[in-house]
Amino acid sequence: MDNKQFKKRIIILGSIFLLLICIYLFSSGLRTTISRYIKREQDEIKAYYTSLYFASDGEGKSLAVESNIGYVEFNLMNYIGEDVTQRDIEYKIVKPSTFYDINGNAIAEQDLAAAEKLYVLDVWGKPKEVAKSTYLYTVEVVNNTGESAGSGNYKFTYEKLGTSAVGKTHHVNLKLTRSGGEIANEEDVSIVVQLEKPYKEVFIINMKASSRIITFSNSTTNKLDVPFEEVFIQSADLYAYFKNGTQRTSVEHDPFTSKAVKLTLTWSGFILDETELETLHNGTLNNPDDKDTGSKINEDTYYLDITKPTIASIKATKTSGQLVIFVPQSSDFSLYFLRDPNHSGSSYVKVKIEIYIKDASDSNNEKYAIYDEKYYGFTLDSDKLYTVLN
Amino acid sequence: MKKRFIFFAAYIIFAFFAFLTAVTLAKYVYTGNTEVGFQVGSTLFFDYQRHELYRNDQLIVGVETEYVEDGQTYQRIETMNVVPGDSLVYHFYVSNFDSTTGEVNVVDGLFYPNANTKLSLPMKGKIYEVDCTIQYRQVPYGDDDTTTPKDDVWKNLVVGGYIDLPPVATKKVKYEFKISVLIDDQVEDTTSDDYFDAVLTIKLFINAASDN
Repeated sequence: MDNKQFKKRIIILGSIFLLLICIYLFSSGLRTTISRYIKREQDEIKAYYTSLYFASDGEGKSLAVESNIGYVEFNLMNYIGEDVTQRDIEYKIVKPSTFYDINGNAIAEQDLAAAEKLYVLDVWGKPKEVAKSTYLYTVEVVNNTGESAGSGNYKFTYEKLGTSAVGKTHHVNLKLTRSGGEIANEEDVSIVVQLEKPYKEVFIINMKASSRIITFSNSTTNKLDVPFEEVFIQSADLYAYFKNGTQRTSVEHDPFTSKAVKLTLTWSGFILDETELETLHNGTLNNPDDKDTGSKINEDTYYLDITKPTIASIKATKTSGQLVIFVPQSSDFSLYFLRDPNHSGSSYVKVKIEIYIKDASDSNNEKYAIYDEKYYGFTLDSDKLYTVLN
Repeated sequence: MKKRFIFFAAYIIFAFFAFLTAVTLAKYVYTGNTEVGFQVGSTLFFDYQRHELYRNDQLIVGVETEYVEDGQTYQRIETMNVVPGDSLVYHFYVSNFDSTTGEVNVVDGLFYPNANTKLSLPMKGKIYEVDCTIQYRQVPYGDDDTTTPKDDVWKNLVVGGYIDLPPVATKKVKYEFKISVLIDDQVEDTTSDDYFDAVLTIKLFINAASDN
């Protein structure tokens, strides 16, 4: 091998050696390939959501509106069945300040009347429908047996009880004042309960407002896990006069009297819960015109001085029957019907509504008259009956 | 001669790479251990300490329990009574020594806490990946640490941002971390009914590695 060739090979070997050194040094700088020790710790936090149980028995109630003012009573509860909310619940009941359309866009006040439907938003910004007339009513809490939390808010304070909590009920009395003119017989209205705690939520109670002297509405309610149809009946504070002192009359100017309204309810395909009747009227039925106490009330007589609904008679088979009841002013009560699933034919609860009026042409002539449109009452069927439930 | 030269050069290259491989593998072999397998982290150490759990800025007490995953038993903190809209903040500490057991870190290292949060809504049949933020600050490691501020500003822990874990001989350190979870717009398509039996789970991993 000559000198030149030898030098060439030395250079090549030297270059290879240098290259390998560089590779080694470069790989030394790569942290991920030279980490030798590793250690890991792991932990977990699990947070269980508590459920919000908030209920009302006001759904489907009716309120009699006179001179644009109506009152309604209902209960709010922090429990549903056996389940109780295990946090404080704070709420207020006011007319919503803003109404929205179905897309969650706010509706200007001047456009509310023309809006097809109205909504309020829940905490997630989801629209929840309210009755169209809700925007016309301002709401004032007349009385609430619940704990006041200040600033118009009320509170269910959480009280631990074993593994659960104490179930509480607030009895609420609201005054609703309507703006925008007189109510035309009947309309739907929603009471919006705005929850502030445990989180912002809206709870909507749908009711029926009516200018008639007696109103009917219904909803399904559970009693011991059995669904009953609850019929709400509410009567005006004054039958004979409006709150502004004007005499209430018929279209033909027959003046109304203060005497009890007579209701004759007939039903088919339902079973009336007669045990609940005892909460209405329990005891001896006295007919002041009849010296023989304990006898049945004469259905053709009337009562001025009854202060609570008074049952005149009741005839019931298993799934049909008839109940005659006299309803004085300022009444607010419920009847419960259990639907018969095996009933063939149509199921219904209808009522014949009679008010006691004086004849406009002869003030000594007083009588019961069917409460139809002639008396600004109900639109009735061909049998002069109003269908309460079907 | 030429052939010999080529073979010699090839031998040098091969020997070098064999050497490099051996050196790399040797880093993961604890020659002093006669057991099957090998130990890791025996000189890399950090101490994880649980601290406080807050719901809506209010201190709450969680229940310490355990759970088993892939045959391993892990610790857990459980709390009830969370409702939609609640914020949860969990504080914990990481230091390079344990004053109770006397264990200390002896190698240069780095560590990185990582958390993932899931919201399970069985009524809706969905599990949401929920965002959470991790912030940290250095805090005094003891009463005799007069140089580290007690109330330093919080720093955001960025993804991939490791935190120094020095050997105790160099420096004693203690860090406070807080994981914040606020579920808000992330679950826009839910309603209050979806939250029956809902569970929010925060899984925390602290990974540490030595520098060399």
